[in-house]
Formats: sequence, structure tokens, C-alpha cells
Amino acid sequence: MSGNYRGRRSALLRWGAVAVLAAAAVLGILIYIYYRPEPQEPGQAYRVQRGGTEQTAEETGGADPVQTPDAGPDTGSDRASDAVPEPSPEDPAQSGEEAGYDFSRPAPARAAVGNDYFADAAFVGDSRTDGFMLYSGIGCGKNLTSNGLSIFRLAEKKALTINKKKYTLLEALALEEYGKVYLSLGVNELGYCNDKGFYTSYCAAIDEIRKLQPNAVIYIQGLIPLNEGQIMDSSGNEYLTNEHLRVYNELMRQAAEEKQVVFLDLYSEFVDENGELPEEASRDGVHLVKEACQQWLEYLKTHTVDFETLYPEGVPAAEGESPEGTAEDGSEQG
Amino acid sequence: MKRLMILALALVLGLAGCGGKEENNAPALYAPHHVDDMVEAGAFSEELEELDGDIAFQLYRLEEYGLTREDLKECAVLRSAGATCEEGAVLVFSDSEKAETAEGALKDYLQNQIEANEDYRPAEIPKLKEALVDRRGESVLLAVADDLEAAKEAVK
Repeated sequence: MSGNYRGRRSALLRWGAVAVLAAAAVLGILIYIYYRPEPQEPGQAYRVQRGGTEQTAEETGGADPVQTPDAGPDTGSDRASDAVPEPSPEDPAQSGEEAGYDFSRPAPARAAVGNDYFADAAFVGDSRTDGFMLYSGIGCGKNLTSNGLSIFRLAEKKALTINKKKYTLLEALALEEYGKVYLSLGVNELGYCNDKGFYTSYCAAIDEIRKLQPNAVIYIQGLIPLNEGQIMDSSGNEYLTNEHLRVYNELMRQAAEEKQVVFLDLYSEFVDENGELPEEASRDGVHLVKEACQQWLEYLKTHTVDFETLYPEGVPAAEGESPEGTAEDGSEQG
Repeated sequence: MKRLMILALALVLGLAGCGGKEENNAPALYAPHHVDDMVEAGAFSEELEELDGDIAFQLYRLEEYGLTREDLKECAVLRSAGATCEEGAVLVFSDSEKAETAEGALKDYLQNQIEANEDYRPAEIPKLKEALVDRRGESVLLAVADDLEAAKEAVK
């Protein structure tokens, strides 16, 4: 009996020791797994930075990591192996491809088109645009301009004579179908202290143009700066200031964004280090000499946008009614 | 008899001489160089920009008057970039009838310029109202000048 007991006790002690050793081994393994150093892969660090999570492939059972809700705007591959730095979402080319044309920004430069691009273009504007049509060498395009024309009177002033008949600019625009409409108005409005009216009138003009020319790319041309010194020497018109012109340019950019048309930043193309039109570009501070008109044309040739790029899902609908308060605001002087 | 023949011959030669003199007095046609002559005479108050024949044909809307680009044989046109309404032009056509049509087009152009600028550049209206449009044979001259007398003198 005692021999059996000793034998059983000894066996129990042996099994207990084995169990303790096994438990210690398991514990050791667990401790190793828990405290082992993180693998040093570039993608790992990027994932932490982009997604704000420290999950690893091992912790998710070895499967591909799942994008967490706070993982940011990364819409590309989620594979850990693909987690290499990607182009920033702010990259214009990248965002342009994924999100369509960015109407909040001026048209980017691209390869120059030939002058024949403007064969089906209408140029609606004031005396500056008239000079552009005459002196730039464009050689084609419809000249729908009138001296002193303002956006406030676009729909009412019988400013154009065609075949000895008088038309408003919008009436004249409706006579033919165009592929592009370039709008350049704003200098004559600088004397009006009515920025809200300017904005609403511009938006209304874009709506009207879109109604008349639904298949046209509409370009809003930002105002080319003035040379205030030359203006004082010639006409002495104190209301023609670059300070107000810059306000109008921003309003025109906003109108282009709201109405989903192209904005052209001609201001930046011409402005000098003093925030003015260079003296050699004009003789009176407003109208451009031939060389400057040619520079204007080159800018237009390198800043074009295709209709399909702007509106991949088809022609945008023109608003049926003028923006609220347009008629009232658009006609009052400040 | 001999005296009579001498008198008749003298009469014929005298008449022929008068006729020749009259022809020599006829003013020469306007030519492109007359535009430069007006500039040199100080007719304009600012430096003007040059336009080619294609643009001139559009600017004066000659097509609306039944003329073709081929009718306009040669021309010289200088025009303000926009500071003033000044301009000087000589247009030479294939025949005097075409030139007469163009003369009418230029007069209408001036009237349009007056209407387009009376609110915008009122100080320029006198120049437009006093502007010279004149035809000599198949050539037509236009001068909207700061000093019209200087322009006239230059193209005499």
C-alpha cells in the first residue's frame, strides 16, 4: 500500500512539474507575443499617420486590415502591402480626375490651342474686349462688344448694330449658336458702390447666357488690372482703382463657382509687382496696346477647358429665374 | 491763208495745253503713305496701333455693304488702342464704284462711333463730328484727328 502510494505521489509530482513547466512556457510565449517589438515597415508608420490606428495584420487574424471610419480620405487600396505614400488629395491633377473640374479655382494652364479654337466663340464685353478683337491677331470669333457697357445693362442697352439693326448684347448672342462664350465686363462698373448688385447681375448674366447657349463653354474673364497713374494723367477717373477691381475679381470668381463656369485669372497674368497694369501695356491705364492684346490672346489659348471635362454628365440646367433681387440690385447705383 | 493756218494751229495747241494743265491739277489718288504723312504732320495726339486689311474690312463692316475682301486692294490703317477715337485710314479699291460704296460705309461707321462714344468718351465727339471722309477715284481717306487741319495739309 505504502509503495503504491509513494509511486502515485511521485507520478503526481512529475505531472505537476510538467504542467507548471508547460504553463510557464505558454506564459512565456504569451509574454513574448505581447511585448515583441513592432515590425519596422514604411507602410506601418504611414498607416498610423493616415488612419490613426495601430492595428496590424496579425491582430486582425492575418487578413487585410479594414479601413476604420476615422481613416481619413484615403479612397485608394487598403492593402497593407500597398500602404505607401500616395499623392496628396490636394494635388489638382489627382483631384481633377477623381472629383471632376474644380470650379472654385481659375482654369489651369494646358497646351496651347490654335486660333481656330475661337472660330465658334463669342466675345461679350466692353471697349477693352473690342480692342482685343482688333489688335490681338485672333482673326476669328464674334465681336459682341460695346463701349462703356456694364453688366447692369446687358439685357436692356441696344448697344450693337448688326446689318443696320439694333440689338442688345443678349439678343445678338441669340442670333447664332456658339461653342464658347467669353464674358469680360466689370471695369465700367467700378464706379458703382454696389458689390452685391454686381454679383447678382453677373450670376443672372451667366444664367441668361446659358439659356441662350446651352452647349457653350462659358468663360468668365477676370479683370485685367489698371494703371492708376496713367488713368489720372488721361481721364482722371478716380473711381478706377485696382483695390475695387480686386474685389470684383473675387466676386466674379465666386459667381463662376456658383454657376459652374470657367474662371480665367487674367489679373495674375498682367499684374506687376506694384499690383498694377505695367505702363508699357497701355497708354491710358485701361485699354491695352497691341502687344498686351497679343499676350491676352496667348493666355486664352493656353487656358481652355473642354465641355465634356466641365460637364461629364451633360448640359447643366440654366436657372429659370434671375437670382433674387437682381433687377433691383442690378440697376441701382451706389 | 498761211496766217489762218498758223492761227488755227496756235488755237489747237493752246486748247490742248489748257487741257493738259487741267489734268495735271487733278489731285492724285490717296495712297497708304498718306497715313504716315498725317502722323508726321502731328495730326494725332497719341501713338496709334496698326491694323491689317482683314481687320479693317471687318472694322468698317464693308461686307454689309456688298463688298468683298478682294475688292479692297490695299490699305493702311492706324487707330487708337482706346484712349481716344483717333484714327487715320486709306483704303484703295479695285474701282471707283467700290470706293464710293466704301465711302458711304465709312460715313456710317463714323455715325456709329459718335453714338457709341457720346456717353463713354464725350470729349472725343468733336473729333468724330469734324472727321474727314474723302474719296479720290478708287481711294478713300478717313481722318479722325486731334489736328484735322494738319491732317488735311499732309494729304493735299
